[in-house]
Amino acid sequence: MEFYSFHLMPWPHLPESYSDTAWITCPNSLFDPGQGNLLYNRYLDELEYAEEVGFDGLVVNEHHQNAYGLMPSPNLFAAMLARRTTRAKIAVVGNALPLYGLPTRVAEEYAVLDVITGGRLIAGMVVGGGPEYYSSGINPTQARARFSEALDLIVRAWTEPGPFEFHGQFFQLEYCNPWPRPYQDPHPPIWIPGIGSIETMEMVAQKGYSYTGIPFFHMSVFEKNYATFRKCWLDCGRAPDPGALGLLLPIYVAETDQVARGEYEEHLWYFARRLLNGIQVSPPGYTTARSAMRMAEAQTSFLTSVSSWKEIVDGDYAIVGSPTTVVDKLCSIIDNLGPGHLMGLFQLGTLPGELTRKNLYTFASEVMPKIRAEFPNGPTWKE
Amino acid sequence: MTTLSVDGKSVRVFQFGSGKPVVYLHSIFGEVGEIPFFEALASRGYRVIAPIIPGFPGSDHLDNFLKLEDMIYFLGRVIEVLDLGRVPLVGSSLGGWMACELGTWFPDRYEKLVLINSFGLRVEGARVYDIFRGSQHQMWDLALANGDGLDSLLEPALKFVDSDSLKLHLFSAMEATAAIGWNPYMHDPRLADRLGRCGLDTLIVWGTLDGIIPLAHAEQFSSLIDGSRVVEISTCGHVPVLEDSEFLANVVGDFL
Repeated sequence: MEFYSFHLMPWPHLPESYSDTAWITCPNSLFDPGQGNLLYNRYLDELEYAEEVGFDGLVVNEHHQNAYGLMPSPNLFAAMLARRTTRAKIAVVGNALPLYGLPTRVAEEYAVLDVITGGRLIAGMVVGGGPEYYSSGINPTQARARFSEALDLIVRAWTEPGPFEFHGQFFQLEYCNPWPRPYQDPHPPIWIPGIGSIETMEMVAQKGYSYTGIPFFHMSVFEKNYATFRKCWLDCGRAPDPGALGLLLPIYVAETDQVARGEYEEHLWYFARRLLNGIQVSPPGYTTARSAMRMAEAQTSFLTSVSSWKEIVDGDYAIVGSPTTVVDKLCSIIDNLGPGHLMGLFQLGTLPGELTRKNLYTFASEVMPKIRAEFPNGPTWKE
Repeated sequence: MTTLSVDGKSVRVFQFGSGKPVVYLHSIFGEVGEIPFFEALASRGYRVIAPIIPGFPGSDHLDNFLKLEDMIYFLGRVIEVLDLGRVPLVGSSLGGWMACELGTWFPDRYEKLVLINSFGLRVEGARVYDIFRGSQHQMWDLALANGDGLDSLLEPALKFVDSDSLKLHLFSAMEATAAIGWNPYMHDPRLADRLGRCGLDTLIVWGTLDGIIPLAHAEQFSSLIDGSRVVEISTCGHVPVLEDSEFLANVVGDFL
C-alpha cells in the first residue's frame, strides 16, 4: 500500500462578490501575483513536508486557465520537487497530451525528471479536462485520437532504439530520437485517469498501465467503475494487481470527528461551491454522445450537487474525522475497491497552511501505520 | 431517404419533389427529412436533394478528418457522385458556410448560391454566440424567434420517438458541428479573401432575430460577393428554413 500526497494548488482568494465559474472565463485579474508568490511557495513546502513525514509519493497535476488548480505545467512543479526531495516518488498526473504540439517534448521532459531523480518518476498521461478544450482551442472531437497517438509515440520514443520514423494522423516525425532515455526500464510507470468510459479502462488494462478514477463522486460511482476496471484487467488475462489502481480522495484527520469537521467544513464548501463551479463542462465530441448523456445524468452523484454535511459523509465525498474514523473508512474503501495507491488531497479549497500540515502529520503518524498493518501485503481484489 | 456510397462512406440523402435539382445543405441542427420547406420548394417545381453532412446522425463519420478542407473535398465528392450537373446550392447556418466553401473551391460546378443565416466569417465587433458553451435551452432561445420550440420544428424531419432520442440527435449534431468549426470558431479565416473570386450569383437571406449570428455578417457576406443581395426576414431567427418555410421558399424560388 502506497500513500501519496496530492496537491491541486488552488486559488483560495476568490472574492465573496464573485460567484461565477472558476473555469475558462474566471477573470485572471482575480489572480494577485503577490499572494501567488506566497501560495506557490507554501504549497511546494506542503508537498516537501509530506515526504518529510513519511508519504511514499507526491502528486502534481495539470490545469489551465482556472482558479481550481494553479499548475499549468506540472513538469515545472515536478522539477522543483525533484531537487528538493530525495526519497518520495513524484507522480505527475498531468501532461494533457492532446493539448500539446509535439509529444516528444513530454517524452524528453519525463525522461529528464526520471534520470535526475534516479527513477522516482511516475508518468501520468491525461486527456485534459473538458474546460481545457475551450481554453486551448484544441478540437475536442479529436481529443481521444490525439491522446492515443501521442501516448503511442511517447512510449515508442522511450523503448524503441532511435532514430526511427513516426507517421501518425496528427504527428509526423522523420527522426524520432529523444535524449535522454528514462532511468526506469523499460520506462516510468504510466498512470492514466478516467471518468468511467470503458474504452479508457480497456486501453489501460491492455497496456498494463495504472488507472485512477476521476475524484469527487459519490462512492457508489467509484464502486461501479473500479469493478469494471478490475474486470477489464482480468479479462486481459492479467493477474489481480492493486498497483494497477489508484484512488484519490479528499482526506482530513484531526483529534476527534467533531474537531475535524469544525476545522474542515468551510474549506470543503469553498472548494465544492466555488472552485468546482464550471468543471463539469463537457465540450461536444469530448466523449461519445451517449457517454455525454450518461455523464449529464451522473451530475447528481458529483460533489457540486451535494448540499449537506450528511451527504458528504454518507457518500464518502471526503474522508473526514478522527484517526480511528478515517482508518476505518479508508480500510473499508480499500478493501472494497482494491487500489494499491491511495492519493489523499490533504489541502483543499481555502484550507490554511497550518491545518494542512497538521492534517499531513496526523495522517502520516496515526492513520498510515494502521492501514499498512491492516494490509501487510497490500490490498487484494475481491475477484 | 436513400443511402449513397461515396468513397467508401455512407451518406444519407433525402430527395423531395421533381423538377430542377437544388442541393440543400442543412444547419447545425441537422434538419433533413420531411420538412415543410422542402415541400414548399417542391411545389414550386424543384427537386430538393439534401445530403446529411458526415458525422451528423445518419451519415458516417469521415476517417482522418482533421481539417475543414477534408470536409469540403468530401462534400464536393458527394455532390459529384449525385451527378446533378451544374446545380444551385442552398445552405442554412453550417450548410451555408459549406456552400460558400464549395462555391469558392469549385465555382464551375455550381450554378448559384443561397446563404441563409450562414456561418463562415468572423466580423470584427459582431461576435458569434458560442454555441458550444451555453446550455441547449439558452441556444434555442437565442436561435429561434419564438424561444424554445425547436423540438416541434424538428419533429417532421427527425420523427424522433422521445425526448432522449432528440437529445441524442442534438448531441451528435453538436459534435459533428464542432468537428468542423470548433477552432477557428465557426469560420474560415481564408474565406473572406477567396469568396469575392467565386463569381457565383448569390442571394443572402437572414432571419434578423438570430441571436447566434449578428446581422452584420449578412452585410459582410454581401460586401464580399459582387452582385449579391440581402433579403431580411424580420420574423425569423437562425433557421428561417424551419421558422417560416413558405416565405423563404418564395424568396428562394424567385431567386433560383
